[in-house]
Amino acid sequence: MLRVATDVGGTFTDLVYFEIDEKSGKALSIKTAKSDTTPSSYEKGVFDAIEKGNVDIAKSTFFAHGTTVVINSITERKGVLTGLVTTKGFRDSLEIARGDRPDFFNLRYQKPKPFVPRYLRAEVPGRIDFLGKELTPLDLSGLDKIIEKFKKHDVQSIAVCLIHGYANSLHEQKVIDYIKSKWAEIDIVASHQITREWREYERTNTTALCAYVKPIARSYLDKLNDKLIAANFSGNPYVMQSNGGIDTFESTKAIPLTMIESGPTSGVLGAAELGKLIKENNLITLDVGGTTAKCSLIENGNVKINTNYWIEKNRQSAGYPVMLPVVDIVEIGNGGGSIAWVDNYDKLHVGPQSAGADPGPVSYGKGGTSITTTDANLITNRINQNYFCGGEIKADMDAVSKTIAPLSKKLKFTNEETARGIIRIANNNMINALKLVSVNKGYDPRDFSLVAFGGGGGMHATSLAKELNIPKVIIPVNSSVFSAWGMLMSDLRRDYILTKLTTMNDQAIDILNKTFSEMEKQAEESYKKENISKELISFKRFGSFRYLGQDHSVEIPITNSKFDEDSIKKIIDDFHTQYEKEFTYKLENQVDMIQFHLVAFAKIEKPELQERKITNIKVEDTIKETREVDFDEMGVHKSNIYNFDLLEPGMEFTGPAIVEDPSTTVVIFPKQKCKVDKFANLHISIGVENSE
Amino acid sequence: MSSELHHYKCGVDRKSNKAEVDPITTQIVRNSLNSAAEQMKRALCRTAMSPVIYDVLDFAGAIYDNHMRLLAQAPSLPLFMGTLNFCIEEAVKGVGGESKLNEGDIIIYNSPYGTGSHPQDAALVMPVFFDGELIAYTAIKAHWLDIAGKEPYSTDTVDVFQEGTVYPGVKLYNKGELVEDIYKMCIANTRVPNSVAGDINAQAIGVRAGERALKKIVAKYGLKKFRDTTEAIFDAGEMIVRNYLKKIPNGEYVGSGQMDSNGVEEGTVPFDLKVIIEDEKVILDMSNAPPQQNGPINCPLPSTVSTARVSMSMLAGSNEPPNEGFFRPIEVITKPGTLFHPISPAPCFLYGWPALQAIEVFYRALGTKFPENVPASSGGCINGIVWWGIREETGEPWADGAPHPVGQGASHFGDGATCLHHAESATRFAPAEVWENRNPWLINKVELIQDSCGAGKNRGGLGVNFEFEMLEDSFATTVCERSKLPPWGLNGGLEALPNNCFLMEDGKTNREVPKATRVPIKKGNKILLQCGGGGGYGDPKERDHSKIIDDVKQGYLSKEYVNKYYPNVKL
Repeated sequence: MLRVATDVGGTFTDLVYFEIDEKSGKALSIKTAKSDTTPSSYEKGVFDAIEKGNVDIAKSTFFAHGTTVVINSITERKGVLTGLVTTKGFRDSLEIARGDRPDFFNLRYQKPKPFVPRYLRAEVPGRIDFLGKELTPLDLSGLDKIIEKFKKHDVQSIAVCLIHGYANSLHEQKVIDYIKSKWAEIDIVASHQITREWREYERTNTTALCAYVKPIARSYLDKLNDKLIAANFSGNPYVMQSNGGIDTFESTKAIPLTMIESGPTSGVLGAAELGKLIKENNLITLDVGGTTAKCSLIENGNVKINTNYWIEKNRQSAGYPVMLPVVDIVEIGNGGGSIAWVDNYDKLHVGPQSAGADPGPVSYGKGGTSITTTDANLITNRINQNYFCGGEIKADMDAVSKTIAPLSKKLKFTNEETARGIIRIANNNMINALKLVSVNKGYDPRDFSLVAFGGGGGMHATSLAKELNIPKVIIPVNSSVFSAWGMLMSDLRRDYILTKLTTMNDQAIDILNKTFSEMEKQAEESYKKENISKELISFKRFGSFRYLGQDHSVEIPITNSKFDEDSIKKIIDDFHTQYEKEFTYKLENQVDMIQFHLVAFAKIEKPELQERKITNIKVEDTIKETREVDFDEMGVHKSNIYNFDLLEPGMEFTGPAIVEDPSTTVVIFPKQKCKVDKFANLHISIGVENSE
Repeated sequence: MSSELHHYKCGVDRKSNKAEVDPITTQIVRNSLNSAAEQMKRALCRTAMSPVIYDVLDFAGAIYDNHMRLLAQAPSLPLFMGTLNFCIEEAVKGVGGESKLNEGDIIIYNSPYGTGSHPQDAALVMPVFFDGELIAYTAIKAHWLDIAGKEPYSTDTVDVFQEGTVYPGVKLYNKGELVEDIYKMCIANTRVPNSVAGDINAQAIGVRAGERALKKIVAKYGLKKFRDTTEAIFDAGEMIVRNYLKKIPNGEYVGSGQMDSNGVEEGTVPFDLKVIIEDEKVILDMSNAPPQQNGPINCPLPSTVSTARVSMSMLAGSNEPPNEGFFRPIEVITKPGTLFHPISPAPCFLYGWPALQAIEVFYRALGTKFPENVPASSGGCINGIVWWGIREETGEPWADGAPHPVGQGASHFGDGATCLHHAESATRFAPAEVWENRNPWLINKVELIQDSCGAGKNRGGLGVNFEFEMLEDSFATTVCERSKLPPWGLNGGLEALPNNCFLMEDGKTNREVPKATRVPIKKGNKILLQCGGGGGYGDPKERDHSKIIDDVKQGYLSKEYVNKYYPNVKL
């Protein structure tokens, strides 16, 4: 029996699968395969990887899929021509946005261009207020003309988002029913089907993006499904979602925007699952790939979910809001392939430009002309020059020396000094990203462990932890395919969010009882439609609350299944406590619940991770060689190079050291202690104090 | 009144000899300082009580060294940023000088002539000590919702004492201990004590977050290396602006602008200013400004200096957050007793409005000779409205206020953007769905105004109409400048639609109320706020026809407009 996960990345399509022992349900082995991503039809790359890995898909009971099809359609602006129907007076909301200019000294700033051009943004009269009350009836008399215009311009998909549609979806429903009755084949999505959260610009943009990618994502998942069926796959295929769960193809096709961060979230989820296994509840995650580094924070085992998510937002641009539950990830253009450059004022920078996989770093010898972080790690001997990419590639150190020389000249440095500088700048960039998910949100890094994975995680994690006072670094076994492993550890997850202002007094009891049970019914029905049995379903309830007159809100878990006076009081108390924790004060003001959030899980069987066998080999015998490694400020040291694949539970050693496998390099600084746990994960003590 | 001119050098020079510094460390210190300032901002926003701080971002937070030189600032209100060194200087003077400072002190200071602002903008200043030595200051100036002026917001004050309570540099914290007497005074002198208490707390948390982060950096590198490095950072900043100035030939460039009124008397208040370029140096000469006014449009010196700092940072910035070095090539000349250097107790509640005009007139002056370097005029105002009333159902008072975005001026590089906050860059306006919940009103439209841009080879950005329908009786104070002088075009580009504000009563009469205090609005009546467009750049004849045709297709322009301004285009 097999359980398969495939992950389509920018350059490669990764495949990971477990062979499962049918009797014990335990994972016998974990295997991987890689193929080139095939942008014209991603499903081809997926099946290339399946073939390359010699996977008999008919034997697979489980198939999880991570895909960049949505995010690529958006970033490359390759979605379909989309029309928008909105409330009279608000068709420019999408273009006006929120009026901010993050690049605040830039006089030539241009706003992000809306995904629906103005001539395809239509208005209908009719008004609902924030309580959901109808103020002006909906007038559909203009819709025929709008449809006609959309048809004339060859619109492929329609977004419907009306003011206060989250509070009362009736008008939106009437608009889509009418359009469908006149134009059955058109793809259409209304905001209330995606989220029922307030803020019209954010919700309109989310709906527009969803419509923009819907036909493409639908056809992609259909094609992939057809291929799976043709290969005699008999299980259920799933797609990795941005909320840290997986979901069915059917459900994803209706709201495909939920796949927007399909790739990066699985790693965070994997870290949370790993944390459960090794009893580490507070984790900061660091995923260093070829072009970017991604960080997230897990508190008490919970992955942080955020519905205030923006794409293409950076210091230069306001970006686009996506009002969906997305795992809270900070991503920066700083990976192994990030390019080092010196500006006009002789300042050294690393990234965000990347050499990608082709030509890649100079050391690949494929004609790369820009020095990258990977090249710097080779110069310092942290990466093994003779075992580059597991020995597949001969590191072209001559080319590296030649290419780095002009940078060194500009900086008046030796090449070694420049390489150390590149690593320090790259680390500094990552430190700032790690601060964004921790210190800047009020978390003390000393209370966390850093889980680092992806190709470059182990190379940088120990220096970063030292700088941020994180006491321990954990490098998971198979760390380069850790993200795909995360996908195999997921349950089905659907999030339901509803903005509904409720004053927390006696009347709240009925409203909470009724609203949560309605939401649960809706979730159960949606699972039922896909024949997912009720016993597998479990719920988690959350509520967002604020003080009257305040816009800051906090989300707290709600454990009650029925509400009474006491439970309402407890919720209010919990809110005060959590609010004070996040915002440092609490108030006497009335407390309002603003948002209901229900998470509906459906349990999926998961493989149990196997412990690494103990053969009683001595730790000295896992040393493959020694070499001189440059530890920057801590000097150059002759260091033991350990073979990751041979390490066994209980082993301990002290830096300076490097741990290598074909796709991972772990740098352990002098005096740092490394222990191997029962799964062969590395636990490295950094030598900083805990906060207690 | 003195007739002597006042010269102000905007940047402080080097304080030690050049030392060998390692460029990598320098770069990391630079990033770490920016990150420290960012942490101040995050701490403030996270703990502030008022949306005007955490949503509108009506504040600035920055870190200065012990010579009051700007090390780093968090992205926030640019105009505030250029005034913080004055706040620190005056706050320290207020408590009796450097020798009176202790570790853990936090000083509160809001005298308008030292902050450059109205009294509502209160600065908290914290000295930073390292091994017992004063090494730096952290400071946050933030807008408090109310500080007990004659109204929550005014356009008609006649002296500074009507504008709010003044704290002339007193310790709010002494060696880390709250000074209760001062604190009680702060809380007693506001119409919204809870919110002010919360915001003072947040500001204190913010300056302390900066102090902590800065000390970590200094501890890591040692004081000597830290100082050598920051000197290098300043020098590099100075080079950025000098390199820009190199491209502009020496000369004097004059620009003129005007204020629609001084707030208490009829009649426009025209002014002009001179930009003098002199061997990689730029002098903003404001000495020809009109006498200080009887109404509150006087702009105290710190904000006048800030206009010069902000204008140059925006022009020459090259994507780099400004530091002290940026300001070294800048000088400001003013004449005490005038609009841009008023003497106490001249009213200055609306100081920000002349300051914003001055920034654009600065560009206008340079544009007379080097139009390709600067943009045409934007809508030119933040179009502020402050609202208040008593809620019908609960009898509770309510108040809210916001700036509103305008179209941006076109430039040599392209069309102007639509609907941006020009000077309050980071400010976001509230979503209608949230706003309708907060206040007793309906928002009937937020829409781009067709034809509101200035025509040109590159056109200006469009303005926007906001229509508020009041559901309960309420009041508003409105401040929209440039309702009379339309946003100008540049290099042959044309004017755009100016700002205005209309009271629509009983569905018919429209009364213009662009600058008015305590306007009563009855239930069911509406306010239409017309935020103007940006001026055009270059001869309209040179505009690419396909762009004009597309603008008509999108509904940005009407056919009539095109026939009038682009008569050669066949639609």
